[in-house]
Amino acid sequence: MKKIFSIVAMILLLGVSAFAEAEKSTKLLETSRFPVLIGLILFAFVIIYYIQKAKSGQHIFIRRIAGLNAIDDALGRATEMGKPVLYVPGIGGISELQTLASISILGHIAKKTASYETDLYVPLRDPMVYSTATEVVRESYLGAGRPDAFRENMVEFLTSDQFGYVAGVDGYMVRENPAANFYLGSFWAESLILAETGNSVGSIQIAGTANPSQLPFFIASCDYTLIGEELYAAGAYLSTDPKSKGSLKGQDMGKLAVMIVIIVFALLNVVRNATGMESLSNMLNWLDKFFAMKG
Amino acid sequence: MKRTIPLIITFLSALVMIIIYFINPAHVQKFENGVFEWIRIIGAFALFLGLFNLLISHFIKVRRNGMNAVYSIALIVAFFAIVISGIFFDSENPDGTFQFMFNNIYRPLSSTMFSLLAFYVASAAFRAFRAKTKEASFLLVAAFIVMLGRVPIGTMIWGKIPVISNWIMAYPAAAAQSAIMIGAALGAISVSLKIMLGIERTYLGGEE
Amino acid sequence: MLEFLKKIDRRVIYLCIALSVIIPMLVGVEFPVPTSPMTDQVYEAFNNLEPGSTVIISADYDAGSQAEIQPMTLAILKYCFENNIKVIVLGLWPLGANLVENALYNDKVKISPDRAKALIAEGKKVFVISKDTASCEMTIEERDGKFVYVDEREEGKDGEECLAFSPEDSYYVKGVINAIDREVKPGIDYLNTGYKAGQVVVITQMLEDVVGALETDISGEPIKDMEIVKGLKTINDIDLIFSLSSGTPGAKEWVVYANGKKNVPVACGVTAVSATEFLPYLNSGQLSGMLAGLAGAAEFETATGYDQGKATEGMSPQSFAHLVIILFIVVGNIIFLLEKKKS
Repeated sequence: MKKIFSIVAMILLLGVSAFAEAEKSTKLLETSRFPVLIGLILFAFVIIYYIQKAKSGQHIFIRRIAGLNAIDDALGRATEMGKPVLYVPGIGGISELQTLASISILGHIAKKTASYETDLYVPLRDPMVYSTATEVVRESYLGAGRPDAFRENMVEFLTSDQFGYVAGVDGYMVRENPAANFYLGSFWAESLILAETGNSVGSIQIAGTANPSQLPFFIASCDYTLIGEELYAAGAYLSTDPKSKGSLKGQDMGKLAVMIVIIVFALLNVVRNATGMESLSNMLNWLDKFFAMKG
Repeated sequence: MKRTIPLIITFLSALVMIIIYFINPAHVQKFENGVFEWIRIIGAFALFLGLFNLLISHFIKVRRNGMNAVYSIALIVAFFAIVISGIFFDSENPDGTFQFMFNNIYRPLSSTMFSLLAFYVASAAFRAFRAKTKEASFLLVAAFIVMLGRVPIGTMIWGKIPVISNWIMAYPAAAAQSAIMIGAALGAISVSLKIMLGIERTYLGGEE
Repeated sequence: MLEFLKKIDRRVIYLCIALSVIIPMLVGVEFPVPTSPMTDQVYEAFNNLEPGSTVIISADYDAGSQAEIQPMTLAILKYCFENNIKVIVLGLWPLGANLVENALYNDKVKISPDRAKALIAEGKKVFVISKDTASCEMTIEERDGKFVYVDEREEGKDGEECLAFSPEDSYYVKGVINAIDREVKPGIDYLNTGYKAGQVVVITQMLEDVVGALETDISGEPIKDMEIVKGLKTINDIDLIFSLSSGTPGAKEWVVYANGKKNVPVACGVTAVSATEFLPYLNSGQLSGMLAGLAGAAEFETATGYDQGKATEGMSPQSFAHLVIILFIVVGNIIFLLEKKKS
């Protein structure tokens, strides 16, 4: 209870400091952004509902994701061959959620490489991701009971330059021939250069990104590819925590709701165009304006 | 306690930023700028940390004198050459050492890396683009049309190719992209919520 | 034959691609470049700007993607300055703003023979590559009322009169600033604020206070008293934002924050490999247009009537490279079908 009070007090303090600069003449709330608020509350409610459901011990079915199931095989192969594992968490910064999702998967993989005694290499483009990833890998080795196996140079900052970074990672692949390569995170034009080099040295490759333009390249050059939301789901999928599984179910339900909304409004638009009903047209125009959020 | 304080900070920061989104920027601009200024300062310090790690790691590789020490030497030399020329010579002078290195070494090298894409697209397409099923055959035809439609030779072959290519890009391709993006956006919200509520805490180091 | 094709080394493919690019460049094949609706939208976005409007060019790329993006930079700067549109540049990537500065002052820009004549007469340095110069780059200058080659090689053409200003020859000047028929004044028509660290944070700060967020120009001078920023407060005082983007942060962040939050028109130029990602934004109207890769740059050159542009030159090698890739896909599929039949 004390915790809750202190949290609320801190929020109030922060809120007061935020509004201290307010001029009385300007409006306080951005009402044009309320559609986002409504969506956010609804979606958060669905996710929290399923998290609670999972917490209460109810079984939640989650479909199998081939790419994630293959992680163990890839790590096993690297261990058998005595070759290292390469983990590339994308080129995005720490504020990007794809990077955070990837860091979460890195935690799971690092735990396994620690227990299999397989070498792991994590080259990075962003200095803030570098410091986070170093901590995650260190903690994972500690968690797996192998702090002695952790070396500082497992996680390395290469350069902030996009193609300089690619040159560094490609160079590593060609010199060290890693048995398994993971490309999980935010990727741009460098995706194919990385994946093709990995393919040419014969590594088993698992990729995943929420940047749709790079998916075709990964699909062409990698053994398994996580598409869009699968990357975000990976952390929960690999986790043993039921709350994470519940959030996945909630996410799927949210998607279902979005699909229904899209279909309903597409049909309503068709009806409007076919019949020219004025009331329907007015309603759709109002909704169009409401969701465009152009205050 | 080691985890509790970071989790409270995470929760509060996320909550404040969400609230700010729905408040007129005129009221919260200074506060928001202050927060963003912190991020920039932390980023700058992290960059020093990253560079320090890079140099230390390569100095160790040189000292061990392994097979690949030569690459580390190249990196260290290039690093100091750029830093020294940028600090001690006039980096703005278009005929200066820094600009010379930027224009004649760095730019061609970076472009070369990027140009590898052309070669890799060809080899990946040759290996992976097979009409294994009816759907894959449709994809193949669409790919040919788009590839031809994006270059002038496509118009010379048949004037309608760019029109069909634009249609494929504007409708089926954009629809598929939107679907992936909607799914990813929901996934992103879900991850954000989990981070905010402390369910996802791997980024704090290890522990789920 | 089947076995040979099956075992085709990837280096053979690389060689074919290299040849398909090099040969058309050497032979000098040229194709007319038609424009696409995406590019027309970008052109319209610029064309609708009144003289004196202010455009922000966000240089969110680096030297790696310059082959595709730099021609866009050149063509856009040229169009803006020719049409009296003020340009403010910033870089969300460390080297982006430097590359725009290079485009303005350093990079070679192709000009028409008439413009070359006019510039030589003004005493400016013009480079030429022609049959006369045996495809070597030389400069031309005016000596005693005559246009002559400047050649520092022994037994070179130094002092020899350059008679024909043929459209088949290539004439270049250093920087967009010299290629246009108008004086561009830094601080009045153009402002490069250099690299702004902080990624998305820079954009969000600019929403309410453009000058405060940008603070200094590329050489560290404060910008608040410069004429170009007079009357500029929030991002809504900007008429168009153009993001030259090859990754993150880039066009997507400008769309989300500048267009999404403040409704400012945003257009972009992106690498061909990431172009499809922006199609939904284009369809929804959140993007006011997109130049997709080198082809997009060439189309913009066509739309603005800049027929000597770097991107237009690159279209014939790209056309042949696309044909070679299609050929390899066809060969790959023939192998696949023959194997299937055999088994």
